[in-house]
Amino acid sequence: MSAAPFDVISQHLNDLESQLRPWLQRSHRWPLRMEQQSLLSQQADDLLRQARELVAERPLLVVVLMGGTGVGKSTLLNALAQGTIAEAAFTRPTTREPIVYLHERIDVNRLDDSLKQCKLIRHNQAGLEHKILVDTPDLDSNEIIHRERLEAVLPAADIVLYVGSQEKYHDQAGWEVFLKQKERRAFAFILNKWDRCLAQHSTGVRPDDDLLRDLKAAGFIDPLLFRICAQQWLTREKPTALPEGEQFPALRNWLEQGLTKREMEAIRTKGVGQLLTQLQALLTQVQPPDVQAAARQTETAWQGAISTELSTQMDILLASVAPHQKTLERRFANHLSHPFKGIMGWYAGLLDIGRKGFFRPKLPQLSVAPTDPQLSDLAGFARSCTQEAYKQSLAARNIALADRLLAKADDAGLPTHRLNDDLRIQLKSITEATYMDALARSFVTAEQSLAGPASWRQRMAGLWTWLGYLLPVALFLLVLSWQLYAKFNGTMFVSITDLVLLPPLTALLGMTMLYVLYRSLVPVTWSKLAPVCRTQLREDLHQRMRLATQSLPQQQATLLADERRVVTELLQRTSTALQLIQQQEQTSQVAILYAQ
Amino acid sequence: MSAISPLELTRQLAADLTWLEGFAGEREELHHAIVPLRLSAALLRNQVGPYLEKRPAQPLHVAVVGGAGTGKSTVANFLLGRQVAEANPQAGFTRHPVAYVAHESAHVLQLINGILGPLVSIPGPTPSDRDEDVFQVRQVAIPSESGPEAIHDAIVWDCPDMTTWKANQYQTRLVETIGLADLIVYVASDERYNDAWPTQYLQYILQAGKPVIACLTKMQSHQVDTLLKHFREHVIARIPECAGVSAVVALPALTAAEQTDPAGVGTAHRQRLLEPVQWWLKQPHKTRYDSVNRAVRFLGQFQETLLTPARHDLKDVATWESWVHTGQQTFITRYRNEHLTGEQFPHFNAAMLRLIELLELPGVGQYVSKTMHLLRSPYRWMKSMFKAPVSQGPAEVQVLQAAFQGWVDHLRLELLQQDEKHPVWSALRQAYQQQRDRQLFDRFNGKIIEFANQQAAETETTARAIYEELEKRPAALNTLRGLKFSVEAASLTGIVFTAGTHLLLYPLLLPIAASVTQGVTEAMGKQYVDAQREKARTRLQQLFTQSLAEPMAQSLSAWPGELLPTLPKLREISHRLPGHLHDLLQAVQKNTKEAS
Repeated sequence: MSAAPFDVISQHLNDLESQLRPWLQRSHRWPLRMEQQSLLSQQADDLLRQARELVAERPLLVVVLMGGTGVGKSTLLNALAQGTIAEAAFTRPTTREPIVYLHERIDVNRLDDSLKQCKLIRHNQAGLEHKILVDTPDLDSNEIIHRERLEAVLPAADIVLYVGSQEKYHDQAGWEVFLKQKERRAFAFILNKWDRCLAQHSTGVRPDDDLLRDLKAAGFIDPLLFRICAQQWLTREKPTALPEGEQFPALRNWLEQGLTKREMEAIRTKGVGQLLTQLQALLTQVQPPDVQAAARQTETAWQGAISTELSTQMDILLASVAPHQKTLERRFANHLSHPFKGIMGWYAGLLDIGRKGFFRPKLPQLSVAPTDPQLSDLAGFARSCTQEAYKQSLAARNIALADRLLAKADDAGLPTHRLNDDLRIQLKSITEATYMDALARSFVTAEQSLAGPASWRQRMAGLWTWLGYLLPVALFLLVLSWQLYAKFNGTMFVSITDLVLLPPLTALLGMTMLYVLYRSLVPVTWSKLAPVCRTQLREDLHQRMRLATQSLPQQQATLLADERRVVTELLQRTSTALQLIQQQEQTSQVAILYAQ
Repeated sequence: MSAISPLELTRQLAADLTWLEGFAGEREELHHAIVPLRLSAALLRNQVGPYLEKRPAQPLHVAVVGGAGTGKSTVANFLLGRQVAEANPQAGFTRHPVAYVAHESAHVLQLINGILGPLVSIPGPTPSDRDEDVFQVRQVAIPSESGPEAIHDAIVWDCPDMTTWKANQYQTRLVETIGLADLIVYVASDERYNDAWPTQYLQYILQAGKPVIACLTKMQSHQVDTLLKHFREHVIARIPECAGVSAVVALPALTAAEQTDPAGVGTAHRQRLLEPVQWWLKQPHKTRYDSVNRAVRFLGQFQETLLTPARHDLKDVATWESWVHTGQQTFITRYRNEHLTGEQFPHFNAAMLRLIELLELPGVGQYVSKTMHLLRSPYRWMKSMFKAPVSQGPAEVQVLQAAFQGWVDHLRLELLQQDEKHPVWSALRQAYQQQRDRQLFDRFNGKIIEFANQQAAETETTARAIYEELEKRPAALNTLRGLKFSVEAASLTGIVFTAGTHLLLYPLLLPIAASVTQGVTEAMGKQYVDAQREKARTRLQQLFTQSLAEPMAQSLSAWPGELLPTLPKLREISHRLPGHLHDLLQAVQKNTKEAS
């Protein structure tokens, strides 16, 4: 096996980690569950660890002893080291901190961070130059913290030596940790206190057979199990009274000579392969779905909902104006100047003054807000109408609208995580002032379109002007000529007073009639005003609402698609790395250490 | 509640606790509650129930409990004085409780008839590794040479372990037996004495009020003192109820001879063990009474812990209900603001006209009234000119439906922001997505029709009451009529005096006088009717709350219960359990008093 492929794989792992980590840390629209997040973060750590180890000149193998209190982990380490390096005692639990047993030539910097902090004990045993043995605290005693310390060290393990005794080989506490780790690490098994397992018995299964049966059920086809009596191997002398089938020498042999460089590389490769497979599975789990269709569906649904809501809101706004419609009509009438000129113009002006004196339309104005001198009475009126309507219903309706929109999004299958916040922020832009301005604008527009220069009223103004010119003169002349005719024909008695007064009076009457006719035909009435206001208001508000909400579903979909893309990339990288690893794997020699 | 007999109470309580246990079994996050629940049910079934039935105190039950491989069977043999239980090195060999009795086993079976809950009796001796919910009774001939002190009047139960990973399947059998026992012999080895899970069991046993004799096995003579001290100080002392451990006995690692002949070769060890056991056995009645009393007290003290599984989902339901309640307030406010405040009740205007008409003079006087009416024509004309038109907001049904939709949507939004793994939340989310909230709307629409009918009846009655009250009291009516007529007559007379012979003034002054009186009358009538309107609004809001908001709040609150059938049962149990436990405590105390 050349070194180059390991470099390549290591680079792949590094790249994978450098992409995975920032993705994990950023905020998500497709929320990760707590346990997924922590698992992925652990796997990122593992990626770095493995990447570093793969390029090391000579691979180091970390062998961690794991088991319940009193099964003899420390005794086993002492026996392997042939000296007292780990405190072994009969009170439980004994070992409180992990102990790292390593060759004096191993550079501390090559150790995993979790191991660096442990108690380090150096040795110069030739057989263990590239192996690091780690004794750990128990996993089943009343000292809960021991379990945490064990779990801190476990990720650094390449091989876990799962130590059991006659009493504990079957225990749930260790079995749970084993089940969680068996997919990720290599395992070998030790049945310590072998002598106790051989007691006379008529019933039951011998512990080693029992354990092997369990392990096969857990996916180990031919698990590596050593039956030992570690207690007897503490001194350098070969023990005399060993029980039948004791395998401590075999264990030592396997650790010292059996695990060759080639095997160790294979174990590491296999470990990386397992890590990548798991990462692949987890990434597939957390990959957000494709929601483009859902987003489009949401958009349509939102438009419908907004449209329905707005027509109700129009009703409410116009209902708040309606009680003042007569005042409003008069106000429009007073502001609409008459088109008459000449005598009629002068007379109409006079009538206007009288009229304004009689009908003094006073539109209600906002009392609480500081009055803006620049504000026209129409805008002020719009404000005061809106204020009431907004306080009474529009504010509550807009909150309800946001809820409605989210419900629609959920119906369409668009993930709503954080969409709610976005939506609230956007809808915040639609305030009381929005409605005030919109209503004021609609009045102005209505005024413009109904009575502005482009309106038929204004375009007909010329006709009225001419009528104004013609009618008084015509009447005057008509009556005058009729009177003169009557006088000189003698058909009727016409006094001088009549002759002087009647024509101008008739002309005056005619002008008055014309004025009344004009004022009653032309002015803007509520029935004409309301639909124009409504259309304008609707357009205005609809645009505002659309502007605020339209892009949100698509934005959500885009963000999710982006997350999806990143995960897909991560998955691709993982599978590329996995292919490289599989090419490298030499499964035949280490298969027994792994669960299938 | 006291209508139920104490025995029935016991059964009911045990059934409730068993139901809770089953419920906890289906939820991973509630697994920790299984053992306490099972223990409580077992105490009720196996100890409190038989006690209330006045079953004899003898024979007492002694249960041998401990981790796998600690030598429970050996300890049972030592208690009995003969090697009867299979002791073998397979950890977790014993899979169901085995009772050893000196009596006729049929007699014993009769004694424990109907207890031990779901465990089925099988004929002994059967191999004790049969892995089913069974128990067996083995009759053993206890040698007479084991002395008069031997355990003739007790049943020794050899129990399965609680530490192996398979124990998950059979620990309920162990717990069932613990519930039955009057005395527990807790066995721990040199390896196991500080293990977390057995210690947890010891704690349950002590909390349940069982007397405990701890037996430390496989002690080497030079370690005994240290280990006993360590066990007392580090294991027993961490349990709050440690006073219940009446003795700690140490047994050495036994030789084969000692194991096979406990009463002979092993008699020294046996005596040490028997001594504290017999202290309890000698006073069977007291032992049993105390045990039962403590058990009931335990149930009382730990009821909150026992109810944790029930509370788990009910807490979510309570949260849901608080949302429903908040939503109800918004619902009412929206109805009031969007509809009720602006509602003018057309009935009331008609009633007002009717009221004014009532004040017109009857009989001959109607000609006077008609004249006055004629005189008031300019007044009516002026009034109609300045009368504010009635504004029409959205229809009531529309407001109601929008407000209810808002309520349901808001609940959904709250839901979307919750952790969806909680069963209550996921059930509700699913119901929303399957549009099962439509059912709520159907119910609501039905309620709207009911409400509309009630509302119509209510407003009509109130409106009619406005004039009917006056109609019913002719005296008051006539007084008012007279008063009005007098004022009118007086004002007319005043005008005659003022105007005198200036005939031209009459057409001007008479209508004014007639109008002023009418105006005042109308203003007073309006005041009265407006006050009635306000009252009607308040009443309508009450009606609305009663017949729409309240029923819908109930429907919404009950919704989770409809989706998750376990909820009503959980609520029922958490509601009745405390009362039942209280009653039970009193029944037991009464029974004890009678007995002594």
